[in-house]
Amino acid sequence: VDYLEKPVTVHQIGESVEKAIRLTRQRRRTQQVASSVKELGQAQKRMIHLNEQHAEVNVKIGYHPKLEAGGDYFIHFRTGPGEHFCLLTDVSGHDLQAAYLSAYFQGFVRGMLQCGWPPVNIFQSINQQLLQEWGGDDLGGADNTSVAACGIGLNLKNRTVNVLTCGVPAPIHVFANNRASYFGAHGGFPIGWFPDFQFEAANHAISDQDQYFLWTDGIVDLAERLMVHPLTIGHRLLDKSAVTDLPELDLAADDILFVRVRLTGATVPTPHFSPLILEQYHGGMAGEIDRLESGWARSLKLALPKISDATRHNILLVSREAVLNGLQHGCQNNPDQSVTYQLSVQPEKRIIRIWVDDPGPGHQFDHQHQESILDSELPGRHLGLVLIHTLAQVVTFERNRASLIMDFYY
Amino acid sequence: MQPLKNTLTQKDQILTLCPGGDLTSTTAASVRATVQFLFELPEGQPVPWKVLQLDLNAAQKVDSVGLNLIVNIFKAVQKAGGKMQIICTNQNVHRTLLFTRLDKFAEVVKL
Repeated sequence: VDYLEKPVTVHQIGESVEKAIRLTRQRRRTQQVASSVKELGQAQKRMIHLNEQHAEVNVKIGYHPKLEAGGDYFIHFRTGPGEHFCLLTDVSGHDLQAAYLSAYFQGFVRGMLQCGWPPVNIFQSINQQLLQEWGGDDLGGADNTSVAACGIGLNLKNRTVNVLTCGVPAPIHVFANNRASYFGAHGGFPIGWFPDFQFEAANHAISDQDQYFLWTDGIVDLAERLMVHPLTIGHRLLDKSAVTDLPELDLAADDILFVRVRLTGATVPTPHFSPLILEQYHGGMAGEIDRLESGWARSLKLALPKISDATRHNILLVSREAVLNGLQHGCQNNPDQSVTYQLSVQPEKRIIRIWVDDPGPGHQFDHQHQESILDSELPGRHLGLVLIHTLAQVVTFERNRASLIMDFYY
Repeated sequence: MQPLKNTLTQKDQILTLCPGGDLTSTTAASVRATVQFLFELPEGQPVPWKVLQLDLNAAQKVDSVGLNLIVNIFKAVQKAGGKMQIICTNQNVHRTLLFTRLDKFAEVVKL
């Protein structure tokens, strides 16, 4: 609205009308751009979720771009009979340019794979392209583009999986027994940083029930901010019904993409567990047990906000006892040795399962004998093991009790 | 983190030990230090109290190291000819005490 003071001249009216026309055009352009960006974002989401539909391999994706469209992307396609390739990419930035480049690289990789190029050579080629054609010699420039990527090649006939990572968090392989393990190491450099192309590669054997979890560093940033394990955010993202009540996502400074790839070949499938925490603690960390426990508590609360206070207390106390036991007795407090802690959930059967593994020789503990003497004798040694047996619903052991597996129903 | 403040007070014949928070592997040493004299009492020496009350109202959890400390305090109190009473308000702490049968030896009061 333009207010004119009387007396109004013809020139003033003309200027005012011109200004109004200019503003109206600008507003319409902005609206048009906003609408186009929104459409682009919706198309990107649709394209990402198209990857979920496939026999042999079941893919579930949680995607939350920072803006309408983003630089994180995922594709999954068959490269031959019984052969699949999954590619997760994260282009630097989270704007429209990143979204465009992301789509370009995914298309490039798909085309090259279909021509029979090995993934390493494709990544190398992209590295060269980025440095020579896109970035020129201006390696420190603001316009320099890089791509963090993770490629997973599944060969269901040879029963192998090959993983290639460049600058993204190491993905997780969950085996048929629901034990989880990282594929290679975290970090590394994204494609497009250095002429000397570096990558992390790992090969594992697979079985019909295996699962793979991969994610972009937007989740890692948010997890650090919330002081939880990245897998817990991923778990909530995949639980579509629960995402709407996850206001923490608004704190994300970057695009977020989390993918679960599940093989569906088992003739008699057993329940899949999804990992929520997978960590290693070195033998010198016994003094940090309160900090570790706080982290488990926050992760558990974020992933499963509705479990009862009593169940949460039992899980945390038993985890504390088992990890401390592993650090002090299994590792003998030696920083060169470590305890592995895994907490997973089976939502349909409502089971939380915890694995604690230490490198020690194990121990002999007769829980039934200990239980029988508790009524007549003051509790003495092994109180930690008594608590574990009492508070967990099911306790099993492997490797002469150096591996402890505990189930909690919730 | 600020260390938790443990207190020891006596009223009439009741000596009350009140840990400032959880009774766990990271706090047990400071709670033990508060009642160190108990473990150093000469055999047969009379004590000016009859009941040691362990007030766990500030505790949200007690782990195995905390339970071991409670057992050791109980033994020292018993040696001194006294009785022990444990007070708690937290349901989880109460369950932990019952599961380890500490209620068979000391009076456990859930408020």
